[in-house]
Amino acid sequence: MDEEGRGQKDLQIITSKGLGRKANVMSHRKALKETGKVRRLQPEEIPQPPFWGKRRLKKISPEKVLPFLNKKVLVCSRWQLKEKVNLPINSRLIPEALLSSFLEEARQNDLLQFQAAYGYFSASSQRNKLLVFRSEEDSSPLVFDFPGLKSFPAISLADFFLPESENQKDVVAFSLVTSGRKLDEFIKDKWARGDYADYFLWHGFGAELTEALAEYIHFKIRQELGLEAKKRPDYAASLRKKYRGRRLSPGYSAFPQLEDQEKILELLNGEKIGVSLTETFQLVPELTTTAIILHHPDASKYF
Amino acid sequence: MSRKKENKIEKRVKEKVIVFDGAMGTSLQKFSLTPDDFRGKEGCYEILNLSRPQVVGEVHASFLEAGCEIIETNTFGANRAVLEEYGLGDKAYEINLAAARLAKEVVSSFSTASRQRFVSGSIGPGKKLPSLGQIGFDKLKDSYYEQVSGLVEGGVDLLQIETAQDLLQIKAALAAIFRVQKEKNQRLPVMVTVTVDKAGCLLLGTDMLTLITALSSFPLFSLGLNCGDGPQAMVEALRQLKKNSPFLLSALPNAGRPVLEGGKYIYDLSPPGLATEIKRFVEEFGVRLVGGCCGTTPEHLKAVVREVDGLHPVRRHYRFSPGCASTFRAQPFRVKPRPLIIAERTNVNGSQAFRRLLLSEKFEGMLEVAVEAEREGAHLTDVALATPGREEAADWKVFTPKLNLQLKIPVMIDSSNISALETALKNYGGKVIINSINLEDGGKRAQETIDLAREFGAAVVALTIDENGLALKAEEKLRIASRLYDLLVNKNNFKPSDIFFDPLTLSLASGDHHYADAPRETLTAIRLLKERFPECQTILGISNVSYGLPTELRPYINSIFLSQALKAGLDAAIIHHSKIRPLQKIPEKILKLGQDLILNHRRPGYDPLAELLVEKFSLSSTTPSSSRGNIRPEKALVEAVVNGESVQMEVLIQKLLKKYSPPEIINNFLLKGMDRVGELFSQQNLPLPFVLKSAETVKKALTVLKPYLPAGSGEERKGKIVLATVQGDVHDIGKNLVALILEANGFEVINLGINQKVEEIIKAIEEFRPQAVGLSGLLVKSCWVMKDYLETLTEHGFKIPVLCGGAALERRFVEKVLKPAYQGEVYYGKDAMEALEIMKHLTEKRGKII
Repeated sequence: MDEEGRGQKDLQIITSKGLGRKANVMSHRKALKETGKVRRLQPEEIPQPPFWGKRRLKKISPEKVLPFLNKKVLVCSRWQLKEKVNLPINSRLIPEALLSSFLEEARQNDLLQFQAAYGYFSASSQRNKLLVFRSEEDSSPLVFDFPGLKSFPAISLADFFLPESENQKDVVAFSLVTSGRKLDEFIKDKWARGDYADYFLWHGFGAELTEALAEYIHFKIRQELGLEAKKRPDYAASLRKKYRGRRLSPGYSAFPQLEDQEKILELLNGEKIGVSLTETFQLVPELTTTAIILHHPDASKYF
Repeated sequence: MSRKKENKIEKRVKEKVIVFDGAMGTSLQKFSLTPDDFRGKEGCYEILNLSRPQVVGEVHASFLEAGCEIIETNTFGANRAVLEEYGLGDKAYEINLAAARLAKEVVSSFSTASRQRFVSGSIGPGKKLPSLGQIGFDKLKDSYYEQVSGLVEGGVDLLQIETAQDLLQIKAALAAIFRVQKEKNQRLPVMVTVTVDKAGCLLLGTDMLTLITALSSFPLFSLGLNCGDGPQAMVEALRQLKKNSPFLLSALPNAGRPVLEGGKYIYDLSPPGLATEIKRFVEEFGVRLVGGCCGTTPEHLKAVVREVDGLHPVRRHYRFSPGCASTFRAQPFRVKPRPLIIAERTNVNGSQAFRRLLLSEKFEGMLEVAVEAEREGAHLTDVALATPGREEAADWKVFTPKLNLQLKIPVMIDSSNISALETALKNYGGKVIINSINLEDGGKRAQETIDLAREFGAAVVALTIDENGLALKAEEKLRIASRLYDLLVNKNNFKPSDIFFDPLTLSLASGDHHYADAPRETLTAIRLLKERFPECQTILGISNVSYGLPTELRPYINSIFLSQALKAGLDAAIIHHSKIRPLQKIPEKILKLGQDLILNHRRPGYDPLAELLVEKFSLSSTTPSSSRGNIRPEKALVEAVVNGESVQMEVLIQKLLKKYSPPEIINNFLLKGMDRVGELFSQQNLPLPFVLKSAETVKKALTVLKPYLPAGSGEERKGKIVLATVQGDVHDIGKNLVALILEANGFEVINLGINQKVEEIIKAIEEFRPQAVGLSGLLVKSCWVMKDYLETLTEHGFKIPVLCGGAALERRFVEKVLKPAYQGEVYYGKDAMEALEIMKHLTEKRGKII
């Protein structure tokens, strides 16, 4: 699953995965004006993960995920409805009511079968490449190619990791989340029956739910890396991406190669949670998304 | 109605304007409270009742010193549903008990023989709205029950449901209060204050007249306003309350508009400023209970006390019309001209179509039927869902929330199943009419229904049926009505204006001469009931009278019977009113025969029924036929498209096919509807999901029309386009929406699907000869694939216009990269509607293809 369906321009800034490119590059330019380079972190600034390698979450409670749902994006952008509750006199679709009824229907039909896999790997950069080591003694690490920005400063995602020349290895996290096959089929069935408006609304709902799930896993990862001060999530801050680091999915700007999905699935063993790839590197089920997670504090400002 | 002994506050308010206290939260913020004071539950001010009672007590004392007569307990959020969020759910009762005792204690040290002070138990709304399904009615009620039990046990003098925003939430709180009062056998005054927006409405759009009507059957001490954007913002709502409310008025505004400054809300109104406004409330609007809400300090209240102290309560003249209400609209029971029209099509027994929708669980379709009745001008709609083999309560559970949020007219709940009734009532914020009670079992079930009606503030229909069955004679009907009146009004304190007597009628078609007098007796009964119980309403299910008669005759007989019932004084009628004919439009002969039949003017050699049956053959051509009432099917189809309603589609099209050819139907009605949809969309009056709903409707219409279209009539379309998602991209929602919208607007779409190579597209262009090609792709890299495709098309010498669209595509990219890559025209289709505009432009430019 990927980003799509855009609404007003200002909303793009708060959506994830590169939609906010323009605005963020602006602020980034300000910040990196002086050097044009990413600040290299001190060894003690590199977080320590609680384990190395992958872990699987086979049954994630919707209670944990739903607070991360970005209602504004869902309503304004996905559904293209106004957020402010209109008098139902004028509108038979009250966003809040619609959302409640969808959640209720999803619950009743047990549609929300959230699963995820994520993991921590040691990594180091080599110019625009990121080498990801499956284990300590991995002699042929996976290589991710990140293009640099075409304009100043010409940095790439790799610049946010310690280079090979350092003694210490850096850490990178990957995530793979899916809202499952059942919801996918439920939604596709709407189209098949000719319930197009319903399909459109459910599709947007499913996409944003998957986004919420990714956000939840990202929170969990930050917490495990010790990047979150509090135990309880600050949902509002999460939705505004006010946290250390950045999460990016393949297919967009700084991370364009869809082929990289294959590497992420290998690292996290996607089949175990029922996720596979088509020959054109699309994820199946559709309501699935992968991401690379950077911990560098300045990465928040980048892309 | 018998009133129980007056409480001291109720007595006091007759003598003077009573001043409540100000803000608890704002006052508490002035103390430097530590996380320990909150026991680690920061933001939970209610815990201070246990952890720092002296601080809460100081706040109470400061307002009493300012001269306030009633202080509110510090229990705004002290119900389980809210406290659970702090992990304090189990402390709900304890907190309320402690808060009430604490306030009582402080008050007792201030009360003197000449001037008593009182405690009001504050009951806030919680954070979840039951009307939106965020919390269930039972859970909310239980949570309030616990709170109210604690407050009452702690000795409060008054209960105050405040900052309310949702009718259903108010009802849950009231139900909890009445349960506690019943259990403790103790009656306290209950007041409700709501919070309104600038337009003077609650969050979901409930205006003041609707609010008053929805709560009119509850024994409230006062109904008013609190919180909000300061006193100014309350004026419009107060004006409405002043004019219409039968309850004492209260107003407890914030100290002006809240402004966020440095992470804290501050309020812009000074103490004298607030006091002046409140004085105006008392003098101009007759407000009897005043006070402050957020941001109001003891200084504010001191100023208020000074301003209103010598003021005499103002007498207020109001006009309250008993009625029922939905979430959005109040409907008086007495209308001019009579009758109150209650639609009968949302009844599984009255409508086969509605029954079929329920059996296939098409609740949205069922709602459309109700909306249709609303559009035809019904005042209410009678909803009955009891169907063999289905669980009635479960169906109400699904259907009522839709009625609650999406139907403007109020509903009559037609059920004799207690648990079904209860389920419906728990999911409906407005005031309903329950249909019905009777004395068939001597009154046991009637009592259960009345208990529910009292708990939820509903009106009832009372049928003249007793242990001996349905009464046939007028006097019998009156006798049973009197028993029902006694049960309702004298034994259960029911308001007479909330009663609808239904004297019932039997069918004229039975042929049984015993029943030949039945309609006439019913008409007499209406007259007698109106004389005996002028405060109550009369109601009749009109169509029963013609049950079993030929369909052609029924509308006429119903119309004649209705006009006679109205003459007798009937107030309300359950009818399919768009089928009612004015008497002057009924053929004279039919009118005469019908009247004779209803009044049983038979005599030897003259049987009006037999003559009517002969007469019906002359009717078939003039019988009212439109299922949409007086709307012509032409207009109805256009409207169905604009409104996105497909339920009536089949019928409408069949009708139009008698007059028009299929292409005419498509061009003159379906496409006309879509044009209107397009206009509304571009004026930003119609969000995209509604456009899709309309397109869906057109597609359904086309399916119905398909068998009638001559073969090879594709040429009738406005134009043709080949659509494809480019290679490497498997996303099709965007492209499919474009296809849907174009098809619904009369274009032929050849949808190649996802992941299409440029060769496939070239093949399709050559085969189908379209007017344009549409390329779609969601991914960033798809934008570059489009560039490659355009270059390839140029190499092959194509000049056909190409539309490009997709989430990642931007106008600038199209201008700078795509246009230069192609020798033909390239258009940027930002969304489906823009693609439609481009297609219209392209086909018009080239002249019609047809």
